[in-house]
Amino acid sequence: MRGREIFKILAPVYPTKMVNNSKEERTMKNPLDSLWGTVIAGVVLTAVLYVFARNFLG
Amino acid sequence: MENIDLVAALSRWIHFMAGVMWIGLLYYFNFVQVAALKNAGADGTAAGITKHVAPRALLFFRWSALVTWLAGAALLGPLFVDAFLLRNGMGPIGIGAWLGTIMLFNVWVLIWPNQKKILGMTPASDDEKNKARRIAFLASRTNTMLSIPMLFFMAGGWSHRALFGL
Repeated sequence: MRGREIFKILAPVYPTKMVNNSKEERTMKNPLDSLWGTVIAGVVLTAVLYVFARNFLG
Repeated sequence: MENIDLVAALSRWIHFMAGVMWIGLLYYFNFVQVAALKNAGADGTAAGITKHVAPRALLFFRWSALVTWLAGAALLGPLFVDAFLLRNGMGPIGIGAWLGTIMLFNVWVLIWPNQKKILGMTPASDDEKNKARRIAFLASRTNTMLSIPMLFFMAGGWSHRALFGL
């Protein structure tokens, strides 16, 4: 996968337009607007809940 | 066979069948229909989906969600409270049950009422329709996100115990 394509996929999760200081450009995107962002958010939530279940549940 | 075994067996079967329909239609909406509607809107064929496909899909979607939850509750039986309080070894399945409950809430309180406005089943102005579209979309995407950990915790078996210690 080319470098630019991976940035396109991850853009909703990791905004890359932080260089421009205008208000509009600094607005963070909602990961749920992209399917990949949704799936990545779901996997991250799974990991967080797993750590919770392992450490805090009897 | 005792009655409680029969109830548990039937509940598990129904829970799985309805769950497959619910999550299958959820993934259809998110992975297929959203993108298809965007393209269909561009060439003027969106009505085929919004008039004939979406209402039917939503009918099975919302009722299978309810049946899944009820069958899951019946399957938990006397362990229902332990699961929702995440105690007595019911923590992992309880997390799945909580996620499923939040998803059911999203279906009946956020997705369905707003979809009725979008599809013209209840009267709404253009502004209200646009707002409803955004709410239904985000609720549906939220459910897709929640389905990932929900299935992880619901589908725990010997492999989960061996690999993840759950």
